[in-house]
Amino acid sequence: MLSFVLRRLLALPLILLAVTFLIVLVMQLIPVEQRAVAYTTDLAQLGRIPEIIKTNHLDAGVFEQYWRWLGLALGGNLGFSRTSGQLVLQTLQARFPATLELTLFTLLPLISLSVWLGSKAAVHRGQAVDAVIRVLAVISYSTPSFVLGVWLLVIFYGVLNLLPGTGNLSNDSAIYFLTGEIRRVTGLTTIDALLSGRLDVFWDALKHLIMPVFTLMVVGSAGLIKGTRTSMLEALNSDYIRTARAKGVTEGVIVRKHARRNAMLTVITLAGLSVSGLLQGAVIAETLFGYPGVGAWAAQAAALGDLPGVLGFALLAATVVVLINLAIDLAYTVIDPRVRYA
Amino acid sequence: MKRFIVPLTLALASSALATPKDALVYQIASATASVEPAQAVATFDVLPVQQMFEGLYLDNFGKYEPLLATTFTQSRDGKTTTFTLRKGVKFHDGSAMTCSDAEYSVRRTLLVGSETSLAAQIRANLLSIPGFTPEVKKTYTFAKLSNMVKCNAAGQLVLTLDRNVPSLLDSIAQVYIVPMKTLVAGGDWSGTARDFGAFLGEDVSNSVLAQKPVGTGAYQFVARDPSRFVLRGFTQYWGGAPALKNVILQKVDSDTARVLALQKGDADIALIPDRDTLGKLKGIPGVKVYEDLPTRNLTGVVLFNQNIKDDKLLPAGQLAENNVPVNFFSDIHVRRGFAALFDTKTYTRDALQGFGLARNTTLPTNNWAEDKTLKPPAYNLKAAEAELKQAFGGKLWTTGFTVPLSTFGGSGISQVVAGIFKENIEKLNPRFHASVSTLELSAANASLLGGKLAFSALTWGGADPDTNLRGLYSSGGILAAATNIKDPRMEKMLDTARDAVGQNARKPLYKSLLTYLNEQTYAFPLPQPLIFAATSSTLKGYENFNRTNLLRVLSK
Repeated sequence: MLSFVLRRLLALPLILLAVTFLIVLVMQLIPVEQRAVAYTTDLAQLGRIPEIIKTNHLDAGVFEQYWRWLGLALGGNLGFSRTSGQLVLQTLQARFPATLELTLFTLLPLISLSVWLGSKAAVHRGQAVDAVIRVLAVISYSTPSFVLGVWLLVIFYGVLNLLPGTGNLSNDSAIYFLTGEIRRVTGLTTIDALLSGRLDVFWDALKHLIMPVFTLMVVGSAGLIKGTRTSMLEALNSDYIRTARAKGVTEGVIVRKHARRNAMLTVITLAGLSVSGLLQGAVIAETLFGYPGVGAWAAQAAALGDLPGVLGFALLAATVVVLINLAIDLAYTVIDPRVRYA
Repeated sequence: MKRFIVPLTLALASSALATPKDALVYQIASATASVEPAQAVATFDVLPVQQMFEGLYLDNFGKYEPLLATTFTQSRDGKTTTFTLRKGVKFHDGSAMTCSDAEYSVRRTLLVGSETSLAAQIRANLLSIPGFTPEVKKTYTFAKLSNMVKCNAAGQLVLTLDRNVPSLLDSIAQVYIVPMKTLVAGGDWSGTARDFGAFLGEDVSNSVLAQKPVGTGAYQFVARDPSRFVLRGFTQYWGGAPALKNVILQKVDSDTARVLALQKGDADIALIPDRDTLGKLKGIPGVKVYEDLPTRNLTGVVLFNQNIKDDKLLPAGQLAENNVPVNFFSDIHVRRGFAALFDTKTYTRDALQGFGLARNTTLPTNNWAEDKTLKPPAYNLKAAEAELKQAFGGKLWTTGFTVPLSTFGGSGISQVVAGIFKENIEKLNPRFHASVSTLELSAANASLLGGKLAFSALTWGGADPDTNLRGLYSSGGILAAATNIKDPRMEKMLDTARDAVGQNARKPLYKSLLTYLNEQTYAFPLPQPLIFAATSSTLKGYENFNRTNLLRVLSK
């Protein structure tokens, strides 16, 4: 098992190298003048394109460019992000906790609700409950997150005045963090507010999470519901369930103890993929709700041709995905003792 | 369940509060990146920079008002300018501003900053250097810089340039005075020859000043996070502490969220995406709508390219109904004909939703050299026909043409311009055609600079007429590759108007030049767009803010 984990961790740098090299390669497909134009902020600067190309080595070959970036990155310098006006590392440190908080607050309700709904649909296959859940899944699958987000903003912020509009904190609460009155320990606003005993700020942070979390949940739940339903149906139709039924085991026990546990392998795989999906979804949710995470920054960096910014985000995203996959593989051994890694 | 929902709803409903009377919440669309004053050029970097830092003069809508200098004198040849500095000015760290600070700040601006920085623009204007090329680096020394900028025995700042630079104040207004000691202690340029080379053209976006800004402005830096930039009124400000004590510049990407925040009193100023949204805000309690604020130092123009660098076009002088020659717009009758084809009323209606000012020249309407008596080319289909019948010795009218029109993705204005041209070109003669294609914005800008576009509608800026007109028309200007104008007479007129000292001497020269430019129609002006904005109804002084960009003129 330990050698398996070590091998997976040793593969991480190779994956990171491949991902970042591919990004540099893809960026090279854009003509050099066009990439240089992305550095300008007004027409007056267009006359400086040759200097921009030279200073930023935009006309260098893909290997030279990549080597230049890699040399700095290995020394712990991921470069300067024009989009954030900060070093990439500083930007990741400042913004990742917000994305992590959003993902963590989404993950638990997303998985539990989706698994519950998927199981419910499978158990009541062909009945009204199943039909309703399947329709809900289709609706959630086909609702664009930006449309849903705007609806939520207009209804719950604009009309009903129930929830705050944007950001992860109201300006009043944010000042406590900015002035150091509330110390940043974990970087997660809810947890730091609790640690400092500021329930009002905790409550404020929680309210700011509701709409983006709901948006991410709706968008991410469809696949998970359908996946759970399918694997539960497979489990419920298997021989050992028939045997259990023949032995007189109650339906509740069959579902909870036998079918759901066996269906969990698929569910865990899908849940792992959901985390990667949440990182992507965060780009839209963070942009819509002004949530100050890495997603919104990465989207802007990509639009502005901010290569160090894009590479920094790619490093982070790839690391998260690799670690999640490793966690999923390890979770298999817990769920199914027959699974062994050498 | 119902018993649970009601208290939850009440608890949640307590979220909306109007902003305090002494605070300003300004919701913007993109975050402030670097506030290093030598680098900042993007709108929402410049906004906080102008509140925290000050120059010697202020560009107040084309008029220069004293800020950290009280007066200036110039030598007869215009090369030497002596600024008398304001007394009693303090930096945010409590230290007093001295001439050494001003000297260091001007020298630093002429030294640091990447090729896209504000400092690079200032260097190009004051020193006529395109950038720190190897050739420039050979002669650009610390000794040269220190002779150029120095304090005299009377504590005045003396600037000695190689030539008279008419747009000197335009640049000086953007050179921000910073505390030398703070910067040197923070590891910035030492102000000596020792590390001069290391800072030459250096990108200082992440400088000590960007991390912890210290200036003399009415607002001082408090803190920032990824979506907020917080400022506090500087109580020791030489002009008196501002009325609004606290300012939060808050980045909100979503247009919907910003508009809702304004309606609900969560923002005092919110960036409004378009006039349709503005219209919906009219009459909403607590919201004040501005529909026709003047534009500052900007000019919209259509520029003709006299030598289009496009292999698909015909060689110079050749004509065909399905194409145009590369020198299509070198014929004055074609240019005049096209200008007369452009229906400015339709443009104002469709592109500016009715909010546009008629123009007299290609200078910005607030420019001191603008002359209201001059007449630019006007929309007149008969005049267009008469001009185009004379073009290419009369052959164009019988042969016909197909002119390529490019629109830029995401730019409604370029689509309206192309639409107007296409409709009127094809209305005039069945042999006249226009083919419209769309380019992505950065590809369009690259094509513009590569001289590949037949003509372009663009917005250009600059406070001094020389900056504006030289950029647009001169063969040495930034847009030269896009226009390919070769006119020695015009170049001479440009140089003469630039080299005269003082506005009174320059104004008649510009009148002659602008008259000539209107005749030649190398470009023609688009109606000037008027600015729209929305604020909370309790906010006062927004018109003044629109002219100065200073938050200290606002109150509640």
